[in-house]
Amino acid sequence: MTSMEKRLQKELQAMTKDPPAGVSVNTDLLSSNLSEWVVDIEGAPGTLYESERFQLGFKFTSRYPFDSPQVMFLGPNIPVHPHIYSNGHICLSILTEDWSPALSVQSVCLSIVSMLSSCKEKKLPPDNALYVRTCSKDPKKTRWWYHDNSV
Amino acid sequence: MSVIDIAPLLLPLETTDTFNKYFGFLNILGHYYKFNIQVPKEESKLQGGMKLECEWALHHRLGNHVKILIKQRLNNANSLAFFLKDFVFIVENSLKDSFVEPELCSVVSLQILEQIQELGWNRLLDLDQTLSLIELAHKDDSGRMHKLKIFLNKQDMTIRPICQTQLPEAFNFIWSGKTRLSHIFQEFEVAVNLYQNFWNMLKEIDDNCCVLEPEKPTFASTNRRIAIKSNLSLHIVVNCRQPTTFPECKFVGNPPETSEFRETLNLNLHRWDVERSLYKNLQEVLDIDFPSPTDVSIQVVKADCGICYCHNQNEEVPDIVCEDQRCSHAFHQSCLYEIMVIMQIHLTVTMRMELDLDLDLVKAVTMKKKQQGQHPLLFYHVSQLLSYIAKAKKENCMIIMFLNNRSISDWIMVEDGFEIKNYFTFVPKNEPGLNEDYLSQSSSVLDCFSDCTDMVYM
Repeated sequence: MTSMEKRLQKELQAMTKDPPAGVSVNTDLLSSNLSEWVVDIEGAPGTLYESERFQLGFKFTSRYPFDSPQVMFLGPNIPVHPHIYSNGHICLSILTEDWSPALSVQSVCLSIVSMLSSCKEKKLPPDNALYVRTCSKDPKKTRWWYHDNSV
Repeated sequence: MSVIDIAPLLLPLETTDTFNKYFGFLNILGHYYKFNIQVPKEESKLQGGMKLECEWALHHRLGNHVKILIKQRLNNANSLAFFLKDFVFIVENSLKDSFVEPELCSVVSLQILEQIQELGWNRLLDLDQTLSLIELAHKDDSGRMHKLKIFLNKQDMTIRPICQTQLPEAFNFIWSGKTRLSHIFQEFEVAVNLYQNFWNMLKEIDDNCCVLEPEKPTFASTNRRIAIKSNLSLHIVVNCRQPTTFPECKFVGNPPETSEFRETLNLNLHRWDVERSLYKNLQEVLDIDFPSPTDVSIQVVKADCGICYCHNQNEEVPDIVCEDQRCSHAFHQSCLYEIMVIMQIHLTVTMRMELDLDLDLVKAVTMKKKQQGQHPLLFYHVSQLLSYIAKAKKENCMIIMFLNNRSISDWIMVEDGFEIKNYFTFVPKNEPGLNEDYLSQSSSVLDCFSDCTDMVYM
């Protein structure tokens, strides 16, 4: 087993055994070498996204955890949020430049849930239309310019 | 011609009203193959009524066309003797060219079996089909079972066989072309006796302490990681020849605690007594009682590396522990090194590609957090500053660049995007008297970063 598989195996174990609130790994959609995950998340109670369900897609390279995972929202239901583009791409610094191998799938999921929770108004990013038309398929290729960290 | 001439080793096995069943061996090219044959009693039913079964070793060597031929002859034969003669002839012909000596009967295999016999079959634990892997067992005085695996080279029995053991040191035996298995085994017994004290010492530790590592110690493992309390453990490597001497000790845990224990250890080292057991000695010099294996108050020590989530990685255990009590994660040196290198490469590549910098000029600048201890509000990527830099170059300016020390990455921290010029001061290059001293005295930037230790300019 490679070190990437070993680590993902442990993360998966921990997350299925003791899942954080509102986050659950969809084990039916796991790829055999664990390089692709689907995680179901639910909007926290008392927030704009309360009881809404979303799917996050994770893709890991063999360099994980030194390389950050590619994370984006999947499927028909993509949250309307000023940092989430309508194609599922997420503007979150820990997914690219601020990634650290001490982070994990769980901490990424929790960051995204908390990003949703702190949202005050459901609206698309201001440059959504342009971005969705011109961006690469891989959000990691995007050079994000982080506007603010208030949301 | 009678059946006895062709198959002297044929015996009647069973007789019923309708047929006789024979069982026996046929000699084909010097080897005996087992077979069964069923012959109808009535002569009229002989043709097409005989049934033959032969052993797998012969069956799998015969080609399909040979099998068909034999079946034809079997159906057409009018006497058992004729058929057997036919059968032997056909099989001999088909095997003549492709004949391989069966393993079991080769001279070498016989020698091996003889040597095992000499050793005693009760010592044999396992034997593979080709007889080239022999697993022997030896029970020591304390009832511990020790295994010895011997891989023989059957092509040339004078070549030193490879031995696999669970001994703490490599098993070296004397080998000459004439060495027999029993000699190797004797040496193995001697070696096992040599480590009795070592295993006794470790058993005492395994029985009385909460051993975190290795999870399932083998007879070969000389290391143990023993829990002292939550988030603190002692890693020892025991000398297998002199197990009661002071082992290699390493504390794994948070720095204030580990250094405390290290001091105690140094102070009490003179109390170490080689006549005492390892377990008692360790308790004596550390001035503690190790928590028992059943002690539930010991929280699971974060033994896994915070990066690779493993404990033992290429014989390396995570021994760098984060000083921040809230984290207190342990890390492998190699994992930390790897991420440092990546950051460095990332920095270098990004700089080369995007900024086209002379790398000699680029040095990572350490910067402590602003005095308020707050994270700056905005992050700007280097690429976003390209335009500023391009502008600066066009205007023949000098740029002071600060790199943050937190990620040593290609980020530049500024507190407010609109104040960027305060942090990237453009100074005309050809202004007289411009040097580092000048910059350090004049620029308002430096007030903001008064605790900068270094800076890069271009």
